Amino acid sequence: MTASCRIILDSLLTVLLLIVITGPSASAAANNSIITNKPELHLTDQEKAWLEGHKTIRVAFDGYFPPYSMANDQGEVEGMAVDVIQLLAERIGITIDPFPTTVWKELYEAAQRREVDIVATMGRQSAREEWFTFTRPYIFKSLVVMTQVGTQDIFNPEDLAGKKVALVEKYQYVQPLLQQIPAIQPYYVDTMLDGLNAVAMGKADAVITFIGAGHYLQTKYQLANLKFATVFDRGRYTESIGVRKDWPELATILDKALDSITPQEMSNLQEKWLPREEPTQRVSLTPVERDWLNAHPVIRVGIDPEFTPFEFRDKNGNYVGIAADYLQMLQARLGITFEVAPKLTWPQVMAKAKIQEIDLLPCVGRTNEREQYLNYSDSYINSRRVIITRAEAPFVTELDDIKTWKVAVQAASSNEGYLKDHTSIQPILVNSVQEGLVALSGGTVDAFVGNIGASAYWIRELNITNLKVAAPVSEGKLHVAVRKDWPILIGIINKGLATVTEEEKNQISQRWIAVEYKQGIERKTVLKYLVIVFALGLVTALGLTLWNRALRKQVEQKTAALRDELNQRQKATKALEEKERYNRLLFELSPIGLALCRMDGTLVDINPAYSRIIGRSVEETLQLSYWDITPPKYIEQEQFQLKTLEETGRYGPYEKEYIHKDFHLVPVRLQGLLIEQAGEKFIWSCVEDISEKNKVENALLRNQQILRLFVEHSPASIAMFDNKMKYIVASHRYLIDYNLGKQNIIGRSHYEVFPEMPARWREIHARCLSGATEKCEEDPFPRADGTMDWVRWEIRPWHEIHGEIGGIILFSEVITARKQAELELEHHREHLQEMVQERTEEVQEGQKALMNVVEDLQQSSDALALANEQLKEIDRLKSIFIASMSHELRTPLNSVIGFSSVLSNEWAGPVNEEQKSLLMTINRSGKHLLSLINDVIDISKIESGKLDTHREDFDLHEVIHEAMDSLAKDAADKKLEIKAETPHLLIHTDRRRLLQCLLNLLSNAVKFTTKGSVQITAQEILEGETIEISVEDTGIGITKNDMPKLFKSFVRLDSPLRSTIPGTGLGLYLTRKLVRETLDGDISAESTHGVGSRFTLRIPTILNNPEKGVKST
Amino acid sequence: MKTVLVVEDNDDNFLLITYSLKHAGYAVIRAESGESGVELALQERPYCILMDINLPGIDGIETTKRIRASEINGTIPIIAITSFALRGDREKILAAGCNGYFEKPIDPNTIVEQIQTLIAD
Repeated sequence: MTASCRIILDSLLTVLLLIVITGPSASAAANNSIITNKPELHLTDQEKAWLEGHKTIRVAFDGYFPPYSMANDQGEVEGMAVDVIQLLAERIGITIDPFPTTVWKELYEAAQRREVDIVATMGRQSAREEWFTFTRPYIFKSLVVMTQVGTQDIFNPEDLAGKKVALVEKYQYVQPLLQQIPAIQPYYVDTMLDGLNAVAMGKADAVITFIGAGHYLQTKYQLANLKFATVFDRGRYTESIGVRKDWPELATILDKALDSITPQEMSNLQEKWLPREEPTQRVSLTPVERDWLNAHPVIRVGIDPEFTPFEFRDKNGNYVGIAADYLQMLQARLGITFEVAPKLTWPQVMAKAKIQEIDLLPCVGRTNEREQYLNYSDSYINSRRVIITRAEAPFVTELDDIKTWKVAVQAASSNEGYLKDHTSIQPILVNSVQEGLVALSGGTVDAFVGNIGASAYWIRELNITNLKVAAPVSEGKLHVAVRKDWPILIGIINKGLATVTEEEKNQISQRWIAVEYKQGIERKTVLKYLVIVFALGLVTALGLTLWNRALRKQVEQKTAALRDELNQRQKATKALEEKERYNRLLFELSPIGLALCRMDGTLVDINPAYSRIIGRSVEETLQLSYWDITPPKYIEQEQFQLKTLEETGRYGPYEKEYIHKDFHLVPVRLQGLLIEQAGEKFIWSCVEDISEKNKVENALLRNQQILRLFVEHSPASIAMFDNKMKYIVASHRYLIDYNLGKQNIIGRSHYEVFPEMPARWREIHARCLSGATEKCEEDPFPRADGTMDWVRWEIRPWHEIHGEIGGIILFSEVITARKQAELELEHHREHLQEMVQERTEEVQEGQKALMNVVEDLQQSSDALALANEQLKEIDRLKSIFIASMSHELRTPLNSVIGFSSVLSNEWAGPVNEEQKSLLMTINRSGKHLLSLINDVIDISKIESGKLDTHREDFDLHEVIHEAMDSLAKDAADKKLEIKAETPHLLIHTDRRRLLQCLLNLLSNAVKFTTKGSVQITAQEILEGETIEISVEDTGIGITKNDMPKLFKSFVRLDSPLRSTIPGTGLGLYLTRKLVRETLDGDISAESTHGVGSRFTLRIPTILNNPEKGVKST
Repeated sequence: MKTVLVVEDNDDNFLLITYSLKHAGYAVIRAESGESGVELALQERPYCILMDINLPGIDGIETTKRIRASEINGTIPIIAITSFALRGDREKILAAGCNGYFEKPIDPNTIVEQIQTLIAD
């Protein structure tokens, strides 16, 4: 016996040590005071930081979910959920970006793809948790019964028996409902509106609908003769906000914001969208009760200012707490006015209650003494009375253990009454819980008996560290108490309390108290067990005594032998006893839920693990039927399992879900046996909560998804293969690079996707699959369509956990564009070289007089060719090349041009006319060659980014006239007129290059015009940001065919003038390059063949971006 | 008669400049390197100096700096003659103390006029 006691004590101890206490937070208290303060969210720094990065949230609303969210006639979405979301957004400080689609199926799929961040209304379903995190529910939908206004025989759901009830057959709740009330005559309709109409027209007696939808339809279709008759199922169906799974932060933030919505705000919203008088809250009072209330408009209430969290005054002196919330609800539902008596201590309150100066106590326990002057309502709060000791005090298990101690208790409390009624303890009375705890902490007393909630609150609040909750005393129940001479008020209060839904109760207690008892062995269970063990022991002992006596009488000599046998039997009995105790213990302690139920679902016996699965106590659970905790959607499956059970004697294992106390669904795996006892069949079930397991699986899935997303959205080409070269995952970039479009390649073989895969590649794959890592910086990859791609790649194996190669990962980059650019550059350089060569030869042939010069040039060209070779390797050499070419080529030309001038000027002595003419030819040819070289150099500079940009302020008018002046002589020679129409305009750009462009255009115009004029027009356009300069001539014009070739390099258009007009074929090419890349503008041409041409250039008035087109050196 | 110092290593260029200057009535003295350029400038105090930038030994920029750092300092106009200009060259030339510059090729018909314009500025 001692051993078993020890075990029990140990277990009890375990239970006690597992008590975890968290008091109500100060913010919760502040938020729920009757005087509402502006709520604060108390976001963590991480949450604030997260919000910084996510200021706009994309929200999808269901457009067909009245009255919570629905599209109105203007196509806008409105409803209660819309209002709630807007309120939340305001609280959090985010902007809502509404998703354009309101069709559920489409928006749900978009949300799965994360095109939507949150879905405003989404019922929590485990299947959806793969994609969404859910906030706490904020819409609670009650199923209500609607009848015609005049219907007088339907007041509660049971009254529907025998009635014709309109139902939409496909709705989930219909079948369970029919099981619950089989006598209902279903009248099936297609839509809820049809159902309402059926009742309105008298075709059905009643319709069952969600209250919101019913209200909406009734209002919209003006079905005035309908009323809400009763509530069928209260607040059981809920809607939460579905948040994309990868944003758990947002779900937490939204939960905090939801918590900040005060009951008043929520009820304002409900009033806006839901029927004003929800039938759940209407308390039907008898006329006598009504009259009594009218005669007693104000009820005086006495409260305990420190009975935290049940009732107390907060820092502002407001009456708050669980009881305060209930009182507020009763006040609204009963039309009573409660007036809280100010500034009284609890003993003063009790004193006044005795003499009926206080009418009602909202939150008290029963004591014998109080029974004399108070009546009690039904209990509405469960609390626990506990013994508190100092941490180092010896273990105690019950009040009996401390009867010799100095025990403090709050004066006039139910705890005092309890001690008086149940023990011989002479307690030391204190005025408040606070005082008692301080006394205990300081050593003045040895124990304190009080309510666990209040005690824990004050221990925390006072920051006392040397106390512990030592043992439970009793399950306390708290009631509303009313002066003895007002029994009628108790009846009214009870009616009011009965309207408080389970959901409302949960909300209140969640708000105020989060005292969580870790499930262990309930004390009651332990006591029951103690009795059984004791009884067993007694019977055994009695039996053995009788037997012993008989033995002694009969065979003395066999005593020894029999004693052995006796011992064995004793042992056997003891073993049996042990075993039974052990079995019971196993049953109680089993982490697997065990339940014995009847065939109709009544629960007969369950262990704590079972009730824990659904978040209830064993006692609570035993009140329920198996069907109460089975979601309707599983009914068919259940029937099948039952059938299997009857046929085979066992069922399962299979998976389903249970309804948790707070309405969420808990995934479980169950199996069981059919047993028969005394002719009745029972089912033994083993039930395992697999939500953790599912969580692990989900976490695994999540990790996989993260990996997949990471790879898919990586900006590189990545593909992962298994060891059969089947795709495991591939990045979007990969699909794009390899032209795979949207086809699904996952699971398909690489060689099936690329049948043209050359053997070389297959070999590389094989090598990597055996452990090699290979890579290549530039690899040509011929396509099936004959094009060639260049690829940079790396392939390496990846390993399974155990080390074997699981497959390969391929990183690759298509570098075709880069490669092409390189090739093109190469091509350009070669072309430049060819150009110089070609032109040089041309000049050589035509101009014998310059033979010597050309030889020099040839040498320079060789130097150029040589430099060009070096240039291909290092870009730096190019600038040296440009410099040297410019110097080396121009220096001798200077002499040719200069001295031919000097000679023809006769500065070196007289020359005859023929000589002068030849000298002029040399001079002209030299100048032509120089301009050719200058153009080539300029182009080369632009292309290599070596062309300097010099921005300066100057007058547009002036630069245009400078260009005209330069061409004036040529024009005059051809008797052409050059006209200009240009404003004085200060611009900021590269003057020299603009002048160069204008000279090119003007000289072309002059060259290709034989008679008429050349007109320059300049003006500001685009509000002065751009200047437009056009050069128009009346020359030969350009044919349509030639237009596209106009700005190409080394193209000279065929024309009758070609042979007579010198030109390099570089002028327009260079001009466009200068305009585009140096002046940041553009040039265009229009022309009518034989009539004239117009070239127009547009450049920024202020050149801001000197780097444009000019690579830095 | 005003004397112009031409610092120029290339004979052809020097000859061409000389024709133009002489035709316009200037006397011409020549330095073939930067060092002798500095020396002649100090010694002869010419009316102005034409400075080729691309010189053997110290270049025209360095030569100009030395002249500017000497006792004659800013009194004599120095005009640079350059045959190539890359980014930053012009800035370097002006920063060294030249009054201006012109680019080759030298046009014998206009060079004197250009010089006079630059000196006048």
